[in-house]
Amino acid sequence: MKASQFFIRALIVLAIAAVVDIICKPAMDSLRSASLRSNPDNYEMTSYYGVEMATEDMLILGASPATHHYIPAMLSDSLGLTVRNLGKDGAFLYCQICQARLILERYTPKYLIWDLNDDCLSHNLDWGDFIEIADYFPYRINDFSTAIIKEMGPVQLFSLHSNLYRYNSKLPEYLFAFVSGRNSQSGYVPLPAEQSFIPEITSMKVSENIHPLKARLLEEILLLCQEKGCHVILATSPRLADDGVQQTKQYEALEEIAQRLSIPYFNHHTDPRFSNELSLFRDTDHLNERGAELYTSCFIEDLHSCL
Amino acid sequence: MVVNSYQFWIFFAAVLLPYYTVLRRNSKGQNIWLLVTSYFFYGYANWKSLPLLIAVTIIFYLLGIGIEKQNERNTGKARLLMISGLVLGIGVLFYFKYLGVLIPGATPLLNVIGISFFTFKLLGYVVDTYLGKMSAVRNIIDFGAYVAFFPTILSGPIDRPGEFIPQLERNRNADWDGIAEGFRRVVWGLFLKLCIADRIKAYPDAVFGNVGYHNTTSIILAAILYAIEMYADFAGYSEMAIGVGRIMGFKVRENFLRPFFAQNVSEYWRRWHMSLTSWITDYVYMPLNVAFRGWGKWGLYLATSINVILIGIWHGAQWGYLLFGIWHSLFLILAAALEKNRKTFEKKHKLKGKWYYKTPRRVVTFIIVACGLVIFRTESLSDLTAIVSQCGKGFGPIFTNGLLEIGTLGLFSILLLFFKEMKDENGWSIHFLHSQKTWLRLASMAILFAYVIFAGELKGSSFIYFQF
Amino acid sequence: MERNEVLARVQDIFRDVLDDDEIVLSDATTADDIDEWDSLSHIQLIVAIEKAFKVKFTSKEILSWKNIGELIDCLMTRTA
Repeated sequence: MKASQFFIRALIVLAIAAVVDIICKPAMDSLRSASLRSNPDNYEMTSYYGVEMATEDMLILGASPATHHYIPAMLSDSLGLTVRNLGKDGAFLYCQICQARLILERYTPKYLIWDLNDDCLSHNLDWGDFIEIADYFPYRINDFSTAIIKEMGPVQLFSLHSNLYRYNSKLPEYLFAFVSGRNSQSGYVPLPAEQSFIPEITSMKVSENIHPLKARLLEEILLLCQEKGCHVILATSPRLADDGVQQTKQYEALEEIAQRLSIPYFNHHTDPRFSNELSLFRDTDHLNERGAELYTSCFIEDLHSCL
Repeated sequence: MVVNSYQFWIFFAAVLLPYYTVLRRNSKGQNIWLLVTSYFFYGYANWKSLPLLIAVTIIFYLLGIGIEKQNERNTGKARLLMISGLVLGIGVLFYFKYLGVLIPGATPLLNVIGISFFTFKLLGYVVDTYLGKMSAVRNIIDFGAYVAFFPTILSGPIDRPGEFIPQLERNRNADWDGIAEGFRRVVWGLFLKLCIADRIKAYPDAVFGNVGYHNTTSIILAAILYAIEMYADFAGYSEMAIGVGRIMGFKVRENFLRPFFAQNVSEYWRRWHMSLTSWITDYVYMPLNVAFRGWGKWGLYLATSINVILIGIWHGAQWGYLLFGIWHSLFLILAAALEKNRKTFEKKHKLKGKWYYKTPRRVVTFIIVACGLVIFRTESLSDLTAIVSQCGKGFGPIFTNGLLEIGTLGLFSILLLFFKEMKDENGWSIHFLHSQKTWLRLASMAILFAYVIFAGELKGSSFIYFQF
Repeated sequence: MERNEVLARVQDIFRDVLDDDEIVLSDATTADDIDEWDSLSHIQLIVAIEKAFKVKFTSKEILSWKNIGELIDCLMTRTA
C-alpha cells in the first residue's frame, strides 16, 4: 500500500464514522421520546421527563434525598397542584442546574422545590459533581453550561461535538423503559422500611470550603426562576445525627443566598423529629418509606406557612 | 500516559512525525529518537525512577559485552559476570517490589514503575549472551532503546533481545500495510479495554468489595465477569502496545491466544500472558527441569510448582498472588500426573477434536481459572475465607445494581469477542477487519471505532451510585 | 564412534521416547520440526540419551543447544 492509498482509506474510515455519528442523533432522540412516552414513570428516565414532557405545577429537584423523601401524591392532595418528583440519585448540583435550565426553556412551573444537602456547594466532590450530568449531553448542553463543561476539562468540550459520545451508554437506558414496569410514583421511589435493618452510619468527608462557581451558578439559576415567575422553595432533608459531619459553612452559605433572594429555605438536617429516629432511616442520608411520609407531611406544613 | 488517553496520542504523533519523515531510512537516527522519547515517556510517568532505568541499562550493557569476551577466552569469568547480573537484577527487583515481605513495614525509597518488565529483559539478556544464544549488543543506543521501548515498558509484552535488537538494526521506512494493521490492533485493543473490561468491572468490584452482603449466585456471576474483565483488560493493553509498536515498524511478541479456549491448565498458560510464561519457561522452568532431571516425575512436579508460583508472585508481594500460584500448581501437577492416562483414553475413544470432548474440558478449565483469579484478587487470607464462607450460605436473588449496562452493552461486546475467537479458533473464514474486500475492512474499522465511542465505558472508572 | 552412528542411535532414542517410528533426525532438526518434542519430552529425551551413552551433560551445555547437530557435537566430545 502506498502512502496516498493509506491516507485516502483513513479518510474514508473517518467519513463512515462521521456518517454513523450524524445518524446517531435523530435515531437516539426518537428512541428516547418513544421510550419516555411509553413509560413516563420510569425512574431512570426521570431526567428526560422534566426536560421533554413535564407540565406539572410543582416540580421537585435534587439528588437522592429528593427522590426518596418527597411524595408527590401527598403534596398533590394537600395543595391541589400537579406534582412531579424529578430527583435522581447521584445528580448533584451541576446536574440539577442543567436540568432546571433546560426545563425553564420549555415552560415555567409555578413552584420549584429544590432539595439541597450539605455537599452541594462543596469543593472536593470531583467524581460526584459530574455523575449523571451525561444525561443532559443529548440536549444543547454546550450552549448554556459551558462553565460546567469547562470544569470537566478540555477533552469534554471537544468530545461533545460527537453525537456518539453524547449518547454513550444511553442505549440500554432508553430500551429498558420500554420493558420495565412503573418503578416510581411520579418520580418518587420509596425505600423499604425493614424493621430488622440497622442503618449503617457512614460519613462522607466533604470539604467545608465553598466552591465559588457552584455558588454563583446556583444564584444565577435561582434568579432566573424568579425572573420567569417561578416560586422557588429551598429545603434540606433530615439526616441521622452524630456522624461527625458538621458542614455549618455550607448551610450558612445557603441561608445567606436564600435570605438575599427572599427565597424560603427549610433546613431540616438537625430536625429533632428525625435526627435520632433510627427506624425512619435507611442509611445516614436517606429516609425510608415511613420516614418519607412523616417528612412530606412536615414539609407540607412548611409550604402552607409560605405559600 | 496510557494508550487510551488523549495525552498519549499527542505524544505519539510528536514521536512519529520526525520518525517517518526526517529520520526515515536512518535506523541510527530513529533509534536515538526512540531512546529519547522512551525516556521522556518513562520520566513523564515517574521521573524519579528514570536514573535507575538508565543505570541498570548501562550496567547490563557492559555485562553483556564482558560475558561475550570472557566466553571467547573460555574462562570461568563469564559465568561469574552472568551470576553478578542475575544477582543485581533480582536484587533490584526484590528491593523495589518485595522489601516489605522480607522486612515487614519497610518501604523502598521509590516506587519504580515497569520494574518487573524491564528487569526481565535485562536478566534474559545476560543469560542469552552467556549461553551464546545471541551476540552481545555493541551499540548502547540500540540496547537502551530495547530496554526502554515505550509501548511495552510499563505493561509488556516482554520482548526477547534476540528478536527485538535485529529489528532496531534495520532501517524503518513507513510500511503502510503494517501501519494500517497497527491501527487495527489499537482499535481492537480499545474495544477490549473500554467496551468489555471497563464496562463490566463495576460488578465484580461491587461484589468482591463488599462480600459479606452477597450470596453465592452473585459471587459466581462476579467471578465469571472478573475472569473476562482480567482477560479483556490485559489483552486490550497488549493489543494496543503491539499495535503502537507495529505502527513504528516493530513486531512485538504476542501476549494472548484465546486463553479461554484452552482445554487444560497447562494449555491455558501457553495462551495467557504468553510473553511472561515463555520467559519463565525458558529462564526458570527449563534450567530447573534440567537440574532436577535425575528425580523423575517428582523433579518435574517441583519445577512446575516453582514455575507457576514464581509467575504468581511476579505480580507482587501479596498473599493472593502466592496462593494463586499454589492453586495453579496443584492443577498442573494433577494434569501432568494424569497425562498418560488422558492420552490413552483420548486415543481409545477417538475423542481428539470432538466438540463434546473439547467443550466440557474448556468449561472445566475456565472454572479452575476463574477461581484462581478470584484468589488472585484477594489481598489477604481473610478476604479469601470471607468469600468462601459467603458461598457456603447458599444461592439467592442475584445482585442487580449496574447490571443494565453490563447485561446489554457488556454482554453484546462479550458475545462479539466470543464470536471472533470462535471463528479464529476453528479457522472459519469469515473476516471483517481482515477481509479481502477493502470496503468491508474500512467499514468494519469505522463501525468498530464508532461502537467504542458509543458503547465504551468512557467515564474513566465506572461508578455505581449505591443505595446500600 | 562415527558421527552418523551416533545420529542413528539418537534417532532411535527419539523414536522410542516420543512413541513415533516416523521420526527422522538431521543436524538441522529443532524442536519446532517435531510435534511431540516439547519442553517436557525434551527433558525425557536428554535423560534417555544420558543413560544410553552413559554420559552426563552440564546445564550450560543442555540449555545452549540450538539443534540436533549441536547435541551430537557435544555427545561426540564425550564419547571420543
